[in-house]
Amino acid sequence: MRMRLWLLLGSLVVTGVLVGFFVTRFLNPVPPTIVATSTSQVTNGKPVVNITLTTVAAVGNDGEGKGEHPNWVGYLPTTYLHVPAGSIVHMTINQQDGSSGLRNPYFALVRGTVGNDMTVNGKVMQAIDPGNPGPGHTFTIPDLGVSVPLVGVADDAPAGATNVVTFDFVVPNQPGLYRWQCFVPCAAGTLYGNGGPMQTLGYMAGELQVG
Amino acid sequence: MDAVAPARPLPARPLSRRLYEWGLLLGVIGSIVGFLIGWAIGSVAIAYSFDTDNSLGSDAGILLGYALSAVGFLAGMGFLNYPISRLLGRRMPTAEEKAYQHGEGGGLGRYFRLTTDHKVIGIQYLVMILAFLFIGGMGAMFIRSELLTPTPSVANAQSYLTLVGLHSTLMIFMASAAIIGPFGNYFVPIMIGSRNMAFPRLEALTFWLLPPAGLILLSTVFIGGFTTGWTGYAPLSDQNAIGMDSYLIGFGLIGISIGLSGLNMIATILTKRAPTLPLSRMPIFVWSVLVTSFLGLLAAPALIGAVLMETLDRTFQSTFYVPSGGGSPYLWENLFWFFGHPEVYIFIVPAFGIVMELLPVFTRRPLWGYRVGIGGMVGVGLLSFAVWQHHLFVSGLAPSLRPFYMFSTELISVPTGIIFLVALGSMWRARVRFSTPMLFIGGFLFNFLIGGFTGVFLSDVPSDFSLHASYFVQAHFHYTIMGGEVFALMAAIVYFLPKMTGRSMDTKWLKYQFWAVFITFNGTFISLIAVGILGMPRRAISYAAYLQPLNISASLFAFGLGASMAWFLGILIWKVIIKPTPATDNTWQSLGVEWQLPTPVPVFNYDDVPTAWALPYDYDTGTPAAVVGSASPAMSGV
Amino acid sequence: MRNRASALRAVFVTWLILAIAGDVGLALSPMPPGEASTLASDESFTMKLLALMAWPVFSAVLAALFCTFVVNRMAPPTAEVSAAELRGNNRIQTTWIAVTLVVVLSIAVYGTVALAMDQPGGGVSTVSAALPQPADASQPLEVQVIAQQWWFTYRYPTYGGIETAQLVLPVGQKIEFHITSLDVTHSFWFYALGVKADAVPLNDNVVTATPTQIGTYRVQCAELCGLWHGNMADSTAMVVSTSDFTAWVQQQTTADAPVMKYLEPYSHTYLEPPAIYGG
Repeated sequence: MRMRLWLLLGSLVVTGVLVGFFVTRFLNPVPPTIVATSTSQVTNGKPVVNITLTTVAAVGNDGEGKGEHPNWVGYLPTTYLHVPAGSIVHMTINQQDGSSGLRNPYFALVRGTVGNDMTVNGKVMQAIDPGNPGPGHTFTIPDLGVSVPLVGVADDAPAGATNVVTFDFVVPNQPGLYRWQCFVPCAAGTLYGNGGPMQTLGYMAGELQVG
Repeated sequence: MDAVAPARPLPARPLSRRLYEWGLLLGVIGSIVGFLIGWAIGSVAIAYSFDTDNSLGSDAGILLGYALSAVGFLAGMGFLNYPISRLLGRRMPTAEEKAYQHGEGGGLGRYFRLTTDHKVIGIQYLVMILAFLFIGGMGAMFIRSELLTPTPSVANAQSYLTLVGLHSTLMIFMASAAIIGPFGNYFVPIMIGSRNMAFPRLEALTFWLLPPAGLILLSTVFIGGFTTGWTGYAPLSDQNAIGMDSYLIGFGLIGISIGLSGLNMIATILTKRAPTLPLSRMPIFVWSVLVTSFLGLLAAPALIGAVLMETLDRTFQSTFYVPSGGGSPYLWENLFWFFGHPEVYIFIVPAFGIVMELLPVFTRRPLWGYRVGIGGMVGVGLLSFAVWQHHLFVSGLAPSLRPFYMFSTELISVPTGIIFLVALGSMWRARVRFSTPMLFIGGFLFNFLIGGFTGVFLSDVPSDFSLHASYFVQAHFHYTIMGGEVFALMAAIVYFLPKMTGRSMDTKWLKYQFWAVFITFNGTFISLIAVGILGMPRRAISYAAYLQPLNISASLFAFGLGASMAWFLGILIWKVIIKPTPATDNTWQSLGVEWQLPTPVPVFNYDDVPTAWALPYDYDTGTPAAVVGSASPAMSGV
Repeated sequence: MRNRASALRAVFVTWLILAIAGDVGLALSPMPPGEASTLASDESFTMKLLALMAWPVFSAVLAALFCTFVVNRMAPPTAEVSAAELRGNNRIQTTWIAVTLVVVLSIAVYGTVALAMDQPGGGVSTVSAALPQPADASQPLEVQVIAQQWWFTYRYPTYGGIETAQLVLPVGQKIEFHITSLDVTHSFWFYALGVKADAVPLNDNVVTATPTQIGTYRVQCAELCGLWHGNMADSTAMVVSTSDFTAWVQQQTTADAPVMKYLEPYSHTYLEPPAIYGG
């Protein structure tokens, strides 16, 4: 009986270890997060904070998965963002990926930003032409009504060519967790371009923690 | 090559036998080798030309790897030895080898290798299913922890969907064999006076498909998971990364297992009955297994076909389910539910059988309405093939189809109601003996009643518009599958364990355990019925804030439910393994033929075919089900 | 010890109490999905009718179970009951089957008639449609729901085919929802209006409902559609007065101006781009 008790205890320990492994490694791994850098600027009584992201055609070994999917498209350095509540977020996105075209041309419209516009390489725009050259990605937070198409670089552009897109949006005063995603079917080789990186946190899907 | 090997003296322990002893190890090695071969073929030969998923690996490689790993596992277990030696015209297995394979001589080892004794297979099933149900239950605990808050907390959106998919798919896998696996395999041959099953090797195969299926499904955690839930709706499943392949191969293996098990059971029940046992006097549990087996045999091929088409979609870019390629998502929905709806009756009909089989033992009266009870189960079985489109009422299929499926679905409550009639008639003004199995049967009747009546609202099209795909549906099928099948399973475990192991797990603690599980179960799922009525969709990680109090209530009850289930498992392990409590030969004073046998049951059950068969429920006259000749003690195992 | 009559009486009394109390409670309580549209009212009515019909049957079985377990317990009544009666009773069995059959048939007939009269929802597939003329009160207002991974957008063909990310509907106007998808299967669920219909690519799923109560509601996806399924919900869908609706349409027309020339021509389904596989 003593041996059977030890067996029972052993199997309980093994179960516990497996469960712990499952929870920490799979269920909710703690990802690296970008914390918005604060500025001294204040607009309408709201502090302005900065976040900079870069989109690339292939994340290489720097992405969230640490080389798990080096050939997937993604936002770098990560898609987990953290901003203070009640602030104005000044986003700078370096679009280095090419164009993929939109499934729904409506997302060519800039929505929900301050002034309902964005600045592309210094030029103010309210919408882009989805066909020429068309968006490589969008930066969209549906629950905040924010959606910004990011013009893709030309196919024959030299390596490192960048479209710099800047825009401001206001986040709520209450803390909350918002998802954000891309609405361009940009996941090459997957059905309707919406598999793989589009459905994996850290590539074309992310979380915005407010507060 | 010599067609017939010359007869030569065999060594004392032939190589084949020594390999059998290491069956499980060889199986594991075989599965690894199989996976590598399949993965190599798939990745190298096919991936470059067809596969489009640029993820961790190629679908073709993973799919072929999984399929061949299952084949390698079975080959390692020794399933191919006999057919290959027959094909090559080698000698037949000797009587000694056959006896060894049948598990004669006892020992713990026979539970870890290919054994053709249906009683060993029954125990194997029981242990395997309890282990997987435990894992699935842990999944449920994680899901309820996550839903304590209306936004992601314990899991993120991605792992939550995999969690939901794993819990549901694993539970569906195991529920399809939860009663028929352990108790069908163990008791059907005994109850019909047979020495074994019609196809003993096939029977072993249906069991040994289960561990690869479960483990392949669970392995999805390591390759990214899948987001489709257990229904695997296309074209979302086409879109998923390689984690989806675990689901497809796992479900395919389960489909094969269900179909083969059905085939074997039908053949056994129809051809291996004792010559003097007519169908009209067969124990009603055997009838339920017969009905279930027909359902499995006829429904599983639809699933296997659907899964096969999905694997083709994912590897060769066929477009069975891709609308823009000429296919249709409705094809999957129809095929899947054509399997899926009989499948839920595969879960519940054996539970009907258990309930009707056990009731007379605890009322000490004949089963009231034996024939109409059989009619009820047969009716459920027939109708179950004509109702599947009630899962598609809001799918946009032609509205003119709806009245028929509404009608057929509502009609199925008539044969189901008969089960309640039989139960009530059997208990009517009887002094019901409230032993633990009877408590669980009472729980079954209450839960399944709620499960049935919530179904009425889902079958009616206008009310289904509000309830479809909400937590109301989720609570409805948990009431039928968990409150129904799992309660019947627990009754069956407590009832049959003394005969299967010679040890009893019945204590007064088990009665407290029943009340704990009964109350927490109802607390959980009544909360979820309310949540569903208020408009919470299934499988959503985020929900409206006003639903949080009810979700917290459901979660807290669910944690209690998880603890009570663990309590059951704890009592089972304690009383059977840690500190065995011996049981008497006929623990419940049953008249059933299985209880006339000594414990442990001899390897070939009967020396002589039992005779003088009566219905096993004549408690008013006390006539046993059959007259069993004396089994020689020398034959008994363990 | 109870004889046959008193055992039956116990069941009957328990049943009567349960059935009356339950049905009164059910008759007085509100039923989902509420009264915010004509369709929702129909569904609530059906739900209430079903509940009122089902509860007495439910409570009959419950009462019988309860009395069997608690009140009517006695030793095997071998003296009173013959061996044959212990094994079944054709009359009772036939009656039981007949009664359940009648209940089921009446529910099914009611459901069929209700379906034939209301036609809530229905998959009508059409290839394409020209822009309908602006609606007057007699014509249903066509609103297209476009599901995509993972958001609903809406098109108003009678107002120049504008597309919006928020659903706003005029009160008292019959709405004809045309639901389609651009990728996988979704399901459009407007709980308060009682609208639920799957959004399937290349399929036009039509549901009509007339909203009757001004308010802000939640719409959400009810069919698992991938990563953000749980977040594919919007709590800002609105039913507003006709004048507010007109003002809102004006505002949206202005907001949509930069993108109008890029939108696809209005159609009941949208063909996929030539490449099935993205990139």
